[in-house]
Amino acid sequence: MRWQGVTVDYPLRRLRAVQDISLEVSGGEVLAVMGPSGCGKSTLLKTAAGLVIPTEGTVQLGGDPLSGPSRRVAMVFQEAALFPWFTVERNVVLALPRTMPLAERASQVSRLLDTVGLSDFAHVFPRELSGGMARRAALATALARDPVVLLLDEPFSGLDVTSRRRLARELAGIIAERALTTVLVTHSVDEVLMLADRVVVLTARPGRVRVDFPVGLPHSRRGNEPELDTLRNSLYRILETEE
Amino acid sequence: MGKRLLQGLTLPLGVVLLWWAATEAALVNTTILPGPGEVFLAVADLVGDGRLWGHLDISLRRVIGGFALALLFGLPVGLAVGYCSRVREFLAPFLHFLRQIPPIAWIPVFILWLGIDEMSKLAVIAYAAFFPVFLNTAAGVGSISQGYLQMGRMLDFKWVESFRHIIWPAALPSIVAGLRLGMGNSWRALVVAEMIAASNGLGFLIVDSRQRVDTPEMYAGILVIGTVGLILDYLLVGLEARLLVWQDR
Ligand SMILES: Nc1ncnc2c1ncn2[C@@H]1O[C@H](COP(=O)(O)OP(=O)(O)OP(=O)(O)O)[C@@H](O)[C@H]1O
Ligand SMILES: [Mg+2]
Repeated sequence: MRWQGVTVDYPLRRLRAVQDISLEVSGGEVLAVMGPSGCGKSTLLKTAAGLVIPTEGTVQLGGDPLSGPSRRVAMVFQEAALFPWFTVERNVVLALPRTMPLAERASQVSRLLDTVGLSDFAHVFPRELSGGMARRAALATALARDPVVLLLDEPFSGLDVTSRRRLARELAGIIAERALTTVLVTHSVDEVLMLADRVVVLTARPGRVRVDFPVGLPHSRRGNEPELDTLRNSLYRILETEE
Repeated sequence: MGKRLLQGLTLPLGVVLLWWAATEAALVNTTILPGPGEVFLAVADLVGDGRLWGHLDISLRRVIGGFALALLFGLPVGLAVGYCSRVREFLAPFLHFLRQIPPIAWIPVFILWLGIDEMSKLAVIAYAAFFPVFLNTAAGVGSISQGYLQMGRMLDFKWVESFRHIIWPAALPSIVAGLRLGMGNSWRALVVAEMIAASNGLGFLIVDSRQRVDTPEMYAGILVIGTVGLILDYLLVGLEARLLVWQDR
């Protein structure tokens, strides 16, 4: 996944959401994107999903420019991540590839719900799920597409510390197992340190790349290793100062 | 449920009690307002001699027919106006002009166009229900969150699928609210239409009993109209509960 000089304008509101962003995420890499509210993180993610077409620049997936949503890319939206009028099961079924034979679907759905620990909640409507469960259900719908690239828009927001850590750990497992190229938009430094291979911090709107740090530790870490202390401190310092 | 029913019945029962006491104490002129006993007897008479069923039957047929016509036009027009801004700009000014004209004003016109028979009454009822159905459908479709439509694009939904899986269910709460308002409008318009130009139906029953100076029966008619209207609304509330199980209430 590769952004080259990407600028997005919203002409109706006459604002520039992101400006001249060039980034690359290689296969299996987890890129975390941070930045102040409204700096264009969701917009950047939507360019990767093919939902927002850049005003300038290009987004490429495996060398081909994206001109719309791709089967190989799945996204968990910041809000409206599930259809509230369908049960968890139906939400997942709708996300399965069209080509999948009917006979396989049921077993595929139960496997996916099992992966995210929601086997007992197949027939429940989203409003009956807790915040963390709803995120995991949304994750199951994203995985249903069997994507190469996973885009996650603030998967931890609104969750308490325990559910955040648990979700992060589960995510780490799923991402590693499926070797998913992941772009993770988030505000929580701790989860970034648990999951990411690289961290990018954007400036205030219009978002530009402000810093780009490698994390430099292998996956499957706890996020509190002493090697991460310097990175944690500089991240907090950067996030606390405007530019 | 039992407790809420009891709460809801407190005021009507209180009013009947007060009404009864006022009659007993000879505080009201019974030629203008007969006592509750007399009115209930009149209801029993209407039931007993079968006249009530006759009027009720024809009134219900009219309201259901007119309401169905309103759905036939209101739903598609509402969907089109909510979905497509071109259609909205084209239709909205005209429809908002029409909306200012109450159903009763059309009665003479419809009689002129469609004759004094059933067609003109159906037209009035349909007209009365059309606006709430149309406006709520359009509002429901127009306010669908972009996020759901984007999800649909990610899932590669074709037009039919995005209608079935997103637009229709997302607009349904608003549509059902429109159905309830529309049904209420239809029922009221029906009674008016029957009072002006009909030889049967519950509206006619009231006019007729007034002409025969059968005051208890007149009140009995009003009681029945209110009760049936309430039952129709409850039926739609039941439909709402079945269609919108996914919603928080
Ligand atoms: N569809 C749209 N039309 C017009 N403006 C938009 C649209 N989507 C986003 N914006 C604007 O673009 C800017 C960037 O929005 P975006 O949602 O990408 O920010 P964000 O970094 O994800 O914010 P947050 O942290 O609050 O989620 C904001 O000012 C927002 O109001
Ligand atoms: Mg956002």
